[in-house]
Amino acid sequence: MPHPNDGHLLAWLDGELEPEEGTGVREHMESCGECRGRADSLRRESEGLSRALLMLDEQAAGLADPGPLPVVAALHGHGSHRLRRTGWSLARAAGLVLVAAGAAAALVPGSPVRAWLESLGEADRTAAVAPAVPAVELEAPSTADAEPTAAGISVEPEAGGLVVDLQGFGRNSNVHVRLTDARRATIRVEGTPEVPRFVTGPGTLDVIGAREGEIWVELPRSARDAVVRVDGEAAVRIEDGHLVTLWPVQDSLREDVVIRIGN
Amino acid sequence: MKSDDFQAVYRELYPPLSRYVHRFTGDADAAADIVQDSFLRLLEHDLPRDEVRPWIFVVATNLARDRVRKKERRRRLLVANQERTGAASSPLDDLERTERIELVRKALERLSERDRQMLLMREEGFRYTEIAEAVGVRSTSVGALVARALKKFSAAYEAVGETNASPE
Repeated sequence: MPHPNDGHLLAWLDGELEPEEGTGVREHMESCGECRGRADSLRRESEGLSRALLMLDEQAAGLADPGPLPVVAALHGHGSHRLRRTGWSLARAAGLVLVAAGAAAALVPGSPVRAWLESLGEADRTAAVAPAVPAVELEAPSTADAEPTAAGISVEPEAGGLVVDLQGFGRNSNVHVRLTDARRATIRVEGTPEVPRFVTGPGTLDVIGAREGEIWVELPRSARDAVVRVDGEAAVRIEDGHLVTLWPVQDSLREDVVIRIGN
Repeated sequence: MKSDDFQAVYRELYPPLSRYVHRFTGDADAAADIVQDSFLRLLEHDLPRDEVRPWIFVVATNLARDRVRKKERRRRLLVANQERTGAASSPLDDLERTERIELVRKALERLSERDRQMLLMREEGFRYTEIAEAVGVRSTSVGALVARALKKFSAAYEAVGETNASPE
């Protein structure tokens, strides 16, 4: 096989080649130091981009948490979820409720609201729709609540396997684990009194020495064998595309669990 | 889309979409508005569940592109102002972190919109076929284009860092 170009190498690293083609690249790599070097370079650049983007994410710490739909928050007076813009009055909140009904009506095939929305057409859709359906005005990512010590990293599973080991976190730390469609696992640590240390290896990530904090772990759904450990003890793992918790769970949704270290 | 479906989609897609748009625009407020508009538009469409994710990312990208163009000048002024005020008042570690974030943002700005979109969609785990459809290229070209974009980003990140480090 001739030397694969960078596009082929990256597609191979990303698991995007057909099996036969991937095998060809892998066999070529075993005997070609030059291509191994280029692949390493691409991998480093890719990881560098991931790290850089995670730094950018630090500016919007609320990105990881959608919270409830704001219209639900408005209806139930949920205190911890603010309406996006300050100065919204009770009248505006009441308006939200009314428009929520409109939005719900818009979901019903044949409803006048839906027909009206459809009649707005493609042109100038933003201007026409934005004021009409503010019922799903969404929670803004809060930058004001950003913790000064938030830090994160992403890591790619190795042959579908991944071990994330959280070491040295205090008893009041919460670990939020969820599945995503992303190719890489993402780990963010927030609210810690000191910046944690991330040590990566092929398919492994150790997060070390951050004392207490909120740890957000997003595991790729495609990982065949991924496990989150706490000080070496398995706490959550992926089995057959689902999260399985081995520790007591604080809170749980279908693809989202929270465990507390020390419980 | 049924209300339950919409809520499930919202919970699943809000974090990655917000992250993607924030990275694309470099502006948290704009990202919030764009994500909101994207979900509003989703309400108007009755899409099969497996088509929602690529669809809403493309919608958000288009909205972000429009927003970036319209607000470019204003945003640059704001960023410049934030840099000045931040430099004067932040502790050293915050300043370093802010500077690093600015390096990332400037490096991303140096990329073409297509390169930025491809890198960020790949980072969110989109398959090459989905990226190809979103940016209008052949799926067999995606690897080469992304590899080139990665190198451009690395070079831009380095260049921006050197520019910032050199004495005025």
